[in-house]
Amino acid sequence: MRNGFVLFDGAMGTMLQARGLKAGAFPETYNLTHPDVVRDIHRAYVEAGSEVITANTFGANPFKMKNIDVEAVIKAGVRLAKEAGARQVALDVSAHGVLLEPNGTLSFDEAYENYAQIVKWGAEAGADLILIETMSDLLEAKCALLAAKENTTLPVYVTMTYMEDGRTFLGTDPVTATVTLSALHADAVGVNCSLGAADMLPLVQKICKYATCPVIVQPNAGLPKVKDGKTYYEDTPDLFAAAMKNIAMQGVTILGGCCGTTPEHISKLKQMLEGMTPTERNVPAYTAATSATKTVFLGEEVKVIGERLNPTGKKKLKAALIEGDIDYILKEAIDQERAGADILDVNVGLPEIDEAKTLVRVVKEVQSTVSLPLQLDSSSKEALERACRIYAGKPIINSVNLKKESLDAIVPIARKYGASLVGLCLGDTMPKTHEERYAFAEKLVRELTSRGIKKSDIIIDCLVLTIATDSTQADETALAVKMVTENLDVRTVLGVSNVSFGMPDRLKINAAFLGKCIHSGLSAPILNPLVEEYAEVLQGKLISLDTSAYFTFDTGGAEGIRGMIFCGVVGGIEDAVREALKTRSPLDVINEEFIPALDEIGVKFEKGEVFLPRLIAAAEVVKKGMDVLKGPEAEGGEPDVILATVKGDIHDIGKNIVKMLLQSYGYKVLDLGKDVDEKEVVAAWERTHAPLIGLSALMTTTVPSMKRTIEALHAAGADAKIAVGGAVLTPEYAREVGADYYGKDARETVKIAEEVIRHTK
Amino acid sequence: MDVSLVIKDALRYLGAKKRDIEAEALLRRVYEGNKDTFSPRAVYGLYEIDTYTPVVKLRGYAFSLEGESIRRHLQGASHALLAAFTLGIAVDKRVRELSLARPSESVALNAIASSYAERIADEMLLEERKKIERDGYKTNFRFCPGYGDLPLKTNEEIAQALNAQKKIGLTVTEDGLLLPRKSIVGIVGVTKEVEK
Repeated sequence: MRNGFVLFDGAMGTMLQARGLKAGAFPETYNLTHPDVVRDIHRAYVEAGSEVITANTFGANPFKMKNIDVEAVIKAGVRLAKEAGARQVALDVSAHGVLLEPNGTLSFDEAYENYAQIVKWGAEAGADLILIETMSDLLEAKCALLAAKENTTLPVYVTMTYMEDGRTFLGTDPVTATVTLSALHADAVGVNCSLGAADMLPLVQKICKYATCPVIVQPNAGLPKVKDGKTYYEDTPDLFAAAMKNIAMQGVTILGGCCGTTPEHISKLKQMLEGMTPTERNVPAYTAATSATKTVFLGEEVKVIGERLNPTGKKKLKAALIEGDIDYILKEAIDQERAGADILDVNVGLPEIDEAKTLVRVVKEVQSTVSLPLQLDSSSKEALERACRIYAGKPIINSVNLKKESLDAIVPIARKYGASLVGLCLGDTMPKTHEERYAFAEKLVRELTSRGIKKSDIIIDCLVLTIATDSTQADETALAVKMVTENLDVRTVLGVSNVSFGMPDRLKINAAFLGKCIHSGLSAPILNPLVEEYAEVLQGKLISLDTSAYFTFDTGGAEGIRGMIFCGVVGGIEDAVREALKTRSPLDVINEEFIPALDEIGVKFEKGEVFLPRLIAAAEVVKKGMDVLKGPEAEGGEPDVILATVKGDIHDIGKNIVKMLLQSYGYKVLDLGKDVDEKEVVAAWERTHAPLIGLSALMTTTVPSMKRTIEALHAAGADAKIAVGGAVLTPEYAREVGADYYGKDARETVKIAEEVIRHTK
Repeated sequence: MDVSLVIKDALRYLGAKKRDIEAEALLRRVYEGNKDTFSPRAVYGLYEIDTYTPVVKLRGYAFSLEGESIRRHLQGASHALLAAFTLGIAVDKRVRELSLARPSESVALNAIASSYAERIADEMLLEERKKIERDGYKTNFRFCPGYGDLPLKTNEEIAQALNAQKKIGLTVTEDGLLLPRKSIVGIVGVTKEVEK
């Protein structure tokens, strides 16, 4: 509009339903079957004053519309809007309607390909902009936004839809979505659907506070009501326009309607907007990192970045990364979250592995399990680019330095993906004094902003050097932090524990240094949040891990190792095992303590005298005990058992229980995870020649996939025994799919393993 | 919601055969500690039955309800109430997280969530049925895809017709799995009450 507002249209879906569209049918097919109906609706909106008409392409996606010419549907959709006299046409894009991996089975790459295809067709048909709307999954919204930006030159608007609790179905809040999507260069961000205009106001206020681009709002016409068997929406055009006035006053400039709104609503909205001028918004600069469900702002109070997902000096994590033991890595992430970390640093750099591939896998899994934002820690351009791409938020990149190669490689990635960027005070020389550090920091800020990084996205690492070689280093670093904070007005991070490298009594030194740096204004120390000494320094900000909250079953006699296992007592098992090792061999401890205790509880489980959590608690205790026997070195060697939940099935609780119990009996398990392609199972067998393969399926629909996997194994000449299990399986089913064994439950599977592996060894 | 009934069902899922006070206490603790992740939502659609042969068809519903079992379930009914329900994604994430942090709690929570979902879905559905019954109808119980010969693909069709992804965040994978995991789709028969 002349006064600076942009007026969109209202609903299409509910209008089509009113004209006979059947529930469950694709409204978009009307573009081909009933073009007049669609054009008429568009025209009514044009006449009501809509400047942008949204093409009827909301659900037009090759993923959903099988056996339909989606290209024709999309192109007709854009054309009909134009024919109706639209001044501008928005290509309407929305969700796939299924969950992305690893929560669901749709891969990011597949989703991207679909979106890329959709936006290309839309652009070819002459759409003027792309509206990505009604999104619940921030990662999917990001995927669509990237596809739109990378395959067209059109402006892209993104709106998410929130429930009355202020979150999307997948838990994203409006601040997080706004910070993330504006950093990703959306041309407008906002909210649509679900709520009426009045209920949307608090969400809109949050969005307006953080959006660095224009804000778009398209509410429903209130809530749907049913009267005389007919659905209607409670907000009349007048009510709608009145509520939209409050929304416009927050600084929203792009307005329209969603479900239940009609040309009358838009017409009233137009009249209302004609009497207003856009409210100017002042968005203060902020430094932030987001996950899909959380935003962490740096600068106000100290935020802790957990350092434990970094293989340097950690043998077990190193082994887990090499073997692809994702559960171990996730456990480290969860422990840090529970200990109070605010952000997690993720570093998987090892010469033995493909860093980019591993970082992508670890980020995918970690972000679907913990809710903390991640700091992607790598010097590999490829690893950072690929991880930033599939990361469901605004990450921090750690780090760039003043060397030209580093700047050239890292800055474009940070800029493209809107990441916050750690600038490390390092160049062709290493700074020694606080003055040198400050000079480096100043130069970094200048260099990075000139290359297009926002100043508020820069976080300076003043570089911690050990006091073992130069005792002044702690003070010099702390002073530099103070100068950078006060004079440059940027946020800071520090890898605190480097200060004591090569020194005795490291934790005390680290804790003292941490206190000094916090006093100097440090925004975010990178440290191990599980260390109590730090927690004290952070003054109750960190809560230590409460291991006493584990289940215990006080059925008496929790004495000795067998008693502890039997009763599920985790605390103390490690000491008890260490004590036993003074007089007995590890094998004796396993055979005389672990196995009999597990057998005892297993028999009770079979008889129904104890229930499943109890059996698992026993296995947990054994696992802890086993760690003592194995020592910090992860064991090598080929697995005894390969486990997988078959393709198409993402249930893994049962499989994980089997794994845990097998491990507690001392079997080495290679866990391929869930939704595993048959080829992957065959490849794992060819690599390891494990004598037993366990396959799990929980749904009748995935039993065929189990059968295919077994056939593929046989075709590949695998002589391994195959055991199958899962809720829908029966001994008959097991035979039918060609399995050698039917594992009724975890306990049964252990017996199968005993039989098979005894035979082969 | 009677929590002790939820716990009783969960115990049964977990293979407890005898009454076990400790096990109950444990499940109660897990329930209390994690009930914040339950966010039950439902969406309904009431459709007039068009025809029973050769398959059940509803007016304004794009698919059909196949099989003998659903025909019997809807025998004599004038309408079918389609219902989709979910406990939300947060509990799935918590179960996953606990499976790594505290496996025994994870298994317990998984069972509790299943039994809670069944019961709360029934409670919510009952509310909806009461509304319909006030207008002079009687309603029967929830019949779910997979019962008898009602095909599983009906899950996806009903979810699509009710716009369940948009309305309550319920999705269906290509293999027919409902996500979030603790989700239920069902069909209730609605019959005009005959004046006595």
